Amino acid sequence: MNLAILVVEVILIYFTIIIIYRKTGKIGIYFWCIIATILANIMSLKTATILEMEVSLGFALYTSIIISSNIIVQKHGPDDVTPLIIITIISSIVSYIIIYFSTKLITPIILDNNPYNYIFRGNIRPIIGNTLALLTLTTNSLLYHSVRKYQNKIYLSNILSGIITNFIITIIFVLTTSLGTNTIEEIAILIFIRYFLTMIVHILGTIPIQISSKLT
Amino acid sequence: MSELYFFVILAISMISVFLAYQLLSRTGLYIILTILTITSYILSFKIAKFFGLNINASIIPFVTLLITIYTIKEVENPKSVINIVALSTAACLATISTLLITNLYIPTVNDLISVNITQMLQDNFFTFISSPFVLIITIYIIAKYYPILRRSLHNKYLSVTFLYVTIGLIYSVIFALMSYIGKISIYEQLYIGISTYIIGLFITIIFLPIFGYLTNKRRVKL
Repeated sequence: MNLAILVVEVILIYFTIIIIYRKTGKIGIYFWCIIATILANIMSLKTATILEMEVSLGFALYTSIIISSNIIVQKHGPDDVTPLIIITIISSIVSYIIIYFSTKLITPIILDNNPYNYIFRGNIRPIIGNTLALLTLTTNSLLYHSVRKYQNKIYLSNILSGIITNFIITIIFVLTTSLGTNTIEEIAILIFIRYFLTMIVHILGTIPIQISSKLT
Repeated sequence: MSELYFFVILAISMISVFLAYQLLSRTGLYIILTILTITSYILSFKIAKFFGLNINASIIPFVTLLITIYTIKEVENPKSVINIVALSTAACLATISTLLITNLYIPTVNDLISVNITQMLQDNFFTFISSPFVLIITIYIIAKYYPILRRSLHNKYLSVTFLYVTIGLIYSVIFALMSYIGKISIYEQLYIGISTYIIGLFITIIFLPIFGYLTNKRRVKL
């Protein structure tokens, strides 16, 4: 069931990216990344079992940010990724601070807000992990660009840059969320699981990059 | 203590708009518009007590969102309603889809967050449905009619206040009536709506000097 939902989620995300790029170009991709960052933060608070493996959600949305940055590198060059990193980090911080402080507001007796407070006040580690991992977009864009210069094949640039970038992102995320609460062995397993799933989503991301590269 | 956090959220919202415009000009305002649309929607699930009044917490990012729209309309082509509405609609649709998809995933056995997400959506089902509609319609009306009002009144502060006094009242009351159907009595719904409206007016007035500063400053359009 969860795998089917993940497939639908990935199709929806990549379809949205293609539509946005077709209609609005680079600027639309920037705005998609802002939306994806905030929503990936919210999604990452929940864990689910996918392929018998326990993972924090939001990795598909998060991978879409990397794919979006690859579309920008492919069409406009790596320099245009720097503003993307800045705005996504700012969006992540500002949105979560507002949501977090709203949980501190006292709730009147007539209505129950406990679920809301529990969700957003509970565990901020995934949000910190996601925000820190955004810094790796620079590495990703440089890697993608270097592979592209060496051999101009989209799938090769996307997969090779993804192998390294996703590994770093996964390590940052899992260490931030699990350090101190899990054993080293559990952390290693979590890294492997998340990296495996993220790479599948990342490889599928070659399709929107291919399609976007053909759009003028 | 609740009041302190209220002012912290307000200060963060204000500083964000100010810095976004100072550093990134119009693009910065659109970035803040996106962030505030999502946070307004998320915060609409939260009811707070502020100086004895029961208010919907989304009023803080919502009024900041309106100030951002007024600033956009002041500094760029007044006809650009479509960009503002399209961006807000996209942000709301993405948030709705994400909340639904997140809720659909079968959680792990010991995941309490998941239970609470489901509970929050069940408790606030009408808010979940009505909030984006009311939000987008209000954004559309504000973006469309602010330039017209501005030309008629020849005063931006008066236009901003007048729009909030009229549209803000309709927004707050309709939102409260639609969001809490069956949960509380109609009098309590009206009480929340009017309290939210009053606090929104207070925030609008606080924002006016910043709005004036941002729109008085001549900037090179990027």
